[in-house]
Amino acid sequence: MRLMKIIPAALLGLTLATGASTSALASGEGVELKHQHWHFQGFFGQYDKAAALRGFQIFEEVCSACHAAKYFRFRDLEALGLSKDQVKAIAANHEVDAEPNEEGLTHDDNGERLKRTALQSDVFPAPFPNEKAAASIHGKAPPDLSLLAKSREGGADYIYSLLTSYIDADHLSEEQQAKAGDLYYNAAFPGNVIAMGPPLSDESVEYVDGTEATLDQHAKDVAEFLMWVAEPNLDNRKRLGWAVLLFMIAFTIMAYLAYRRVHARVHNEPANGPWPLH
Amino acid sequence: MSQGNQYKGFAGWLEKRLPIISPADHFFNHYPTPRNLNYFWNFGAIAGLLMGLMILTGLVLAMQYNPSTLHAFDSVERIMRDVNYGWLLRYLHMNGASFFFIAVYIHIFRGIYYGSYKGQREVLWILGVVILLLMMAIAFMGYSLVWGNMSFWGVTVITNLFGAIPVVGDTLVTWLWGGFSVDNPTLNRFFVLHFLLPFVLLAVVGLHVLALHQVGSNNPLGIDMKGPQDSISFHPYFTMEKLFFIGAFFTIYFLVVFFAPNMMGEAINYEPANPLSTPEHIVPEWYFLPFYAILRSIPDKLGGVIAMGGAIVILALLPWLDRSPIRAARFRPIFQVMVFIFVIACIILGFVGAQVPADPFTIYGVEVFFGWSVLTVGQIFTAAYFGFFVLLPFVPLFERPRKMPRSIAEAIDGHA
Repeated sequence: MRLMKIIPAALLGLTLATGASTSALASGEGVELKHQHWHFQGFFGQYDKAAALRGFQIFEEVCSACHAAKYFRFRDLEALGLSKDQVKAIAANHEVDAEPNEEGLTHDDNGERLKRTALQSDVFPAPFPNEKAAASIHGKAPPDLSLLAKSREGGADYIYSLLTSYIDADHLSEEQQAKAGDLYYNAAFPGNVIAMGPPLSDESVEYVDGTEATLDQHAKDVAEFLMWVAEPNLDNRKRLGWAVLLFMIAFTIMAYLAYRRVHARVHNEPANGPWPLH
Repeated sequence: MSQGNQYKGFAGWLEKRLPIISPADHFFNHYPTPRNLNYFWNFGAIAGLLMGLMILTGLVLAMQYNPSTLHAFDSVERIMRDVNYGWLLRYLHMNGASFFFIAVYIHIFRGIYYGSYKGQREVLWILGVVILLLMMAIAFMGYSLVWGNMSFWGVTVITNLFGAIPVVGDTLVTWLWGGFSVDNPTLNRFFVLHFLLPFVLLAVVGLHVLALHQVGSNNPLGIDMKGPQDSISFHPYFTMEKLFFIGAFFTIYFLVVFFAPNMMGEAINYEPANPLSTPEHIVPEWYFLPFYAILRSIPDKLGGVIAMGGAIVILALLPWLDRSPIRAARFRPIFQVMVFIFVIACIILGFVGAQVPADPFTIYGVEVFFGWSVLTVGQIFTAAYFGFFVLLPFVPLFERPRKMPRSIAEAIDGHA
């Protein structure tokens, strides 16, 4: 009987484990991930807002030249601790496509797109009007970054590794050089050959908060930012999760005690019944 | 019926006008339940509760979802970001599907291990298989609605399977798609069906419960109740136990929802559907993996499809394949071993389904089975899966059952 009580728990664990194991396979071949400690990991982990803001600075100054982040709005930055006015000021540095003017036009006489200053409610402007325009310049459209940290195996580790795993042509074997051709060799990228050149190096960005500007720091910060863009509700989710979990544990303990107490009535009855049928 | 009834106050007033109090009273208070049920008898209730949760969260999600190829993925992200507690609703729904399957798979294991398909329970059991099939269809179509890249390719692969049917295959696939590829019409109809079928499921679950109350619960001894000494009432004894067990199960469920909501999903599904970019490995959700493994184990496409479908349908034949009058596996030494092998086969097939057929088979990176390929291991355990059903009719011929108590009361009290 005891065994039969343990088995459901074991089965449940096993099923969960089987489920979790399936996602292990999708990571590509030849990928070496550098595992980092992230602030948002674990049961108590929350975003490091300062790091995410530094990451935003990198995104704004470097990444967004080629990559869009179509689910990221300026106002989202308030969740990282910026005030409304600060967000407004950041948005004001950017231009977005204007709505049709009084004459119903979206382009001026020279065929240029009419622009206006961005508002907090605007999506961070994409560098290209559409995928084809992006592809015409880059060969292949650079991926949208708003879900990258969730759509790649390894998440933030992957982004960090990708940005820090470029290998110079000088350090490549002949075979690797031949493989890379005109493109770049990256130990963390599936297939190792990547069209994007090393986007970051030491001092790519001068941090507003005075943090030392190393490649390692840049990569960590931008990965933190991209994770936040991909999963902006993580902090709230874990906070609520703790409340729910504590409630459920208390509920389960009380339900268990009530159940034992009710069942004690069965065991106290004379063995031959009659068993109560309410 | 104008005659008086035993209920007082509002219940009596209502019962005279609408006879719903007496069936409810019967279900909870006059449903004699075997005294000896163990924790395995909780998973049906849990599955029912999860079904309710799925319908509720699904209803609210459907209010925000946009079933068109242009906007489906965006609308899911809008739910995740801009809808109040949208992320919670979606994570509850997405992981709810997984936990629904966990509960139902354990529930099915319980049914097989204790022979719960015997003793006038054939219809109850077949309704259960219908529920499983419906669940699979619903889960498959629900997964497609996300319109991520795994959704898209999963739908493409699975719907293409119907093309294996001789003569009408291709026409059938075009009809299913509503066109010549998986596209907007496919997504539209999947949304409609994903909304409709859960209510069909609800109705079948109603029949399942009705059939249960007609025959009564089986129990770990597999011996029918012989009198009041064998039973206790469902309420409060089992309602209280279920409350506790539901609490424990949902604690684990919420643990995943709040702290690892994407654990059971594929990362690539956070990339929008792209017909021009096939994922490196197309894998279904974990609960389909054993069946996917069976599909890939058969070298012939039509054969694979038949084996995959047959793996589920054959469950419905269990009441006739198992010819032993004894229900519980604890009294059947050979059957007991067979059931455990069957469960192990299902779990290994789950791992097989997630791996590339030509690679050596591994479990958590460890090569087991002497470095045999995933395909070979899959074929061996596919044989084990079906072997269970093939051998079943012959087991009573050479099985010597263990000694059984004469009644439930005797097993517990030592005398009847």
